[in-house]
Amino acid sequence: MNDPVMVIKMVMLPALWESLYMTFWGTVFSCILGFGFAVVLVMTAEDGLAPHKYLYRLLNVAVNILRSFPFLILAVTILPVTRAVMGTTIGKNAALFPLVIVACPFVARVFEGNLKAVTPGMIEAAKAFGASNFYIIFKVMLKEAIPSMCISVTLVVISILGSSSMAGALGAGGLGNVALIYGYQSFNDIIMYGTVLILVILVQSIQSIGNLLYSKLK
Amino acid sequence: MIKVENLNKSFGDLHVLKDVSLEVRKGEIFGLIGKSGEGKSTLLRCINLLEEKDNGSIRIKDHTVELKKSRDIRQYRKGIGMIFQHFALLERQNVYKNIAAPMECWNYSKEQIDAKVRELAQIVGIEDKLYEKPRNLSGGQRQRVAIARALSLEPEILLSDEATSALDPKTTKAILQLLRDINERLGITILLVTHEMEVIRSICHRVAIMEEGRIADCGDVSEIFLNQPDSLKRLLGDESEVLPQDGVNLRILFKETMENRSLIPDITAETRAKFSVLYSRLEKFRDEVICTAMLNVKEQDFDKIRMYLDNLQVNWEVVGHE
Repeated sequence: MNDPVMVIKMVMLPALWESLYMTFWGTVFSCILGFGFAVVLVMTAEDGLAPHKYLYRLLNVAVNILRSFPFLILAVTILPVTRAVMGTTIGKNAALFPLVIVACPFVARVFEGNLKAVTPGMIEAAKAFGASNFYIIFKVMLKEAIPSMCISVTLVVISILGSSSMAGALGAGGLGNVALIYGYQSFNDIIMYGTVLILVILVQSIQSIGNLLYSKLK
Repeated sequence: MIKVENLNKSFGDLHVLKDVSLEVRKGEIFGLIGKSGEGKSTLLRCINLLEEKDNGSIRIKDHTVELKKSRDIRQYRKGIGMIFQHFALLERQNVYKNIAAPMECWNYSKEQIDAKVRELAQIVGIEDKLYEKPRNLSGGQRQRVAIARALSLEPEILLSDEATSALDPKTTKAILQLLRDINERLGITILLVTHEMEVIRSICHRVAIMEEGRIADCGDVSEIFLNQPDSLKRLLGDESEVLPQDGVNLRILFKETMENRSLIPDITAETRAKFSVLYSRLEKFRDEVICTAMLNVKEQDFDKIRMYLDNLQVNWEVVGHE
């Protein structure tokens, strides 16, 4: 384990791939689900398009409860569910399940904020020409909110990358696992801080891409 | 065209509209003026159901508006265009898309949309800005886009909620002229809400003055200005404090015609009374000109002058010192 080329080829690259895999699919699934919840939150709110007190409260509380869980604790708590759904509790696919469960309410909240920030005047104008709720949500609110949602997605990607590193401690693989097993527990500072360096570069790049997209979309 | 009867609306404990009744005739420009917070906008929003009324009735073209199903409400709103103080354009869409939005929403064909967008852009004078984003336009141009959008579904009624309040005086004039053109060319009935007297003076046929959620006075614009009801005076503000303390301050109002152009010198010639003219001004009401003059006359001449004015049927009134 002292040949740098071997370490990079056999340990780092597969771990990087696993981390990117978990982050990418984690983001995709949590954004799809989170967007759905955000739409329901925005619509059923008191000042929303289709106010529904109880549905809003239910969802609101559920989101808050899920967001209160530290990732590791939640991942351990739902292990039986993970096994039932994914068939296993080991590996990158098994880790996706808790990653999505944790990220989804977070996404719902930030997207809810993005959608709510759309000027009420625009929604009113759309209502005035007889737009349906479907049109208002997708053609007015979503379209107008896309730049700020892009910033939110950047936030989500980085947060999932962070969680996926933590999932390494539970046998998910990825960079977090490498830093822990090959670095920390093997007293190998080079591997430990090397992984951190890779994560720093990843986070930096994701943020830059997000900012760039925002300025292009705005 | 629009008939509102005994309309009431409250927000919690706040009684915003109190038994409001109002009739807007087909093809006219009707102005609703009042200070802010008097319920003008709420009345407008009740008419196109953006607000739900508490009770009372709204009739459009002799049909009572009593809609519950969202499909019916949407269909109803389709027939009423609306423009807003802050334009309410889709900021990420270009001018073309903004004008097309209502037609897209109602599934018009591409060809229909294209033809209509170009026609409207020409009417409102923004045909060279079709592919610009709203943020690159001036306030006046943005309101033109909003007007085009409001006209895209060919409504018979246009509601305007303080549409010129965010614009400078020159742009205001141009937008008002545009509204008047649209009214004359397309025969569209316009109900507008404003706090600016200028808007009422320059384009409205009739006006209603709102005070504390009630219609205080309503009538032809020039009649209202000639008769100066108390509600109008309250709106225009008190001018008595700058007037002289001695003598009688007499305000006279008359429509300017060829015969009465020399009214003020005629008063002197006929009554031999001496007085000072504190001010005199001409104001245009759509196409009529009304002259307002403030005279300061001596107590002993007051009766002579009053009789002379009554003879000519000129409106006058004494402005107090308080």
